[in-house]
Amino acid sequence: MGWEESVLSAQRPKVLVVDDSKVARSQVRQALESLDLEILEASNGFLASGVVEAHPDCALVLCDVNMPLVGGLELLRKLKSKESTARIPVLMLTTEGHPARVKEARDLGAEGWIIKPFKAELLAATVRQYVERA
Amino acid sequence: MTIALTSEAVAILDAAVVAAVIERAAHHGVELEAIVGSAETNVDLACTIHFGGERVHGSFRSTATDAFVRALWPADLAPPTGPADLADWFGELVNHLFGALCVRLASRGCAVYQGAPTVVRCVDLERPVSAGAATREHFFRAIRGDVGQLRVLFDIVLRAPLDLTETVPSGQARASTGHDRLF
Repeated sequence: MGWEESVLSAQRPKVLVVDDSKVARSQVRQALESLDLEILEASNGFLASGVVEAHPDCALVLCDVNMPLVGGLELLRKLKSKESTARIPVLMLTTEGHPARVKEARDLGAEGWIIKPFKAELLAATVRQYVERA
Repeated sequence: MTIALTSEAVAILDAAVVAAVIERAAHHGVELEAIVGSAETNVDLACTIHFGGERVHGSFRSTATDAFVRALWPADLAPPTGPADLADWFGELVNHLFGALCVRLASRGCAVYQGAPTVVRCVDLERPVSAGAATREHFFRAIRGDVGQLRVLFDIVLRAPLDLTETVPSGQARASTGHDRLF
């Protein structure tokens, strides 16, 4: 990456997409294509922690719930318990919808819960709100 | 102790599985119909999602051909590049199908926790994965195009008698699919 690209990249808000399905991550990336974002990806909560460590300036995390190794709620708990990452808004994006899990996410500090399959335009509008605030 | 499903519960669960699968496939642009089928030998992928709740546990299992999975590939993405892409998408797709069923179960007071899908190149799915499970079997085919069939095995074990009276319209039982529930 050249310096010009680095500078441009640094100016774009970063959104981390965490999902164990590569196709699901691609769908999110596609849905957000019209927003000028730097999309980061991780396939589980464990790897996502590393990505956030490396990019503490993330504007938003979009996170699946049921994933191998470290699930979305565990990742959420970890992010919200650390001072350096607690400010990063997290939206859950999942097929899961058990009321107890939704409540747990809310209590842990998630910003919202979106049920898959998502509508691309709705997701983009919601993400836009968060990156404009960041 | 195994608690048997009543015939009424069986009918409700069967209808819920069929409706959920057809609804979600339609979302992905493929019109399906339930058929009287039989297990195919030329199946490529198998996916299992375990679930548990206060009164039930079990698994939602599905098999399909690569051609079937390809037919439901997201229209807005570049075509799959190989078997790994199809397996990945099949796991996500079955996750969507089961998610739609969970909405229906929740509307009848039977909320369940979903596990993560596991996908393998074809294996025998005949045996129930949970001891004492009642297994309901369903077959679907695409109305247009010969892409093989989708087979769904729904294993359910009752921990307590199950009353599946609809208490909440399914749209209100959980966050609506595709819509935001911002806190």
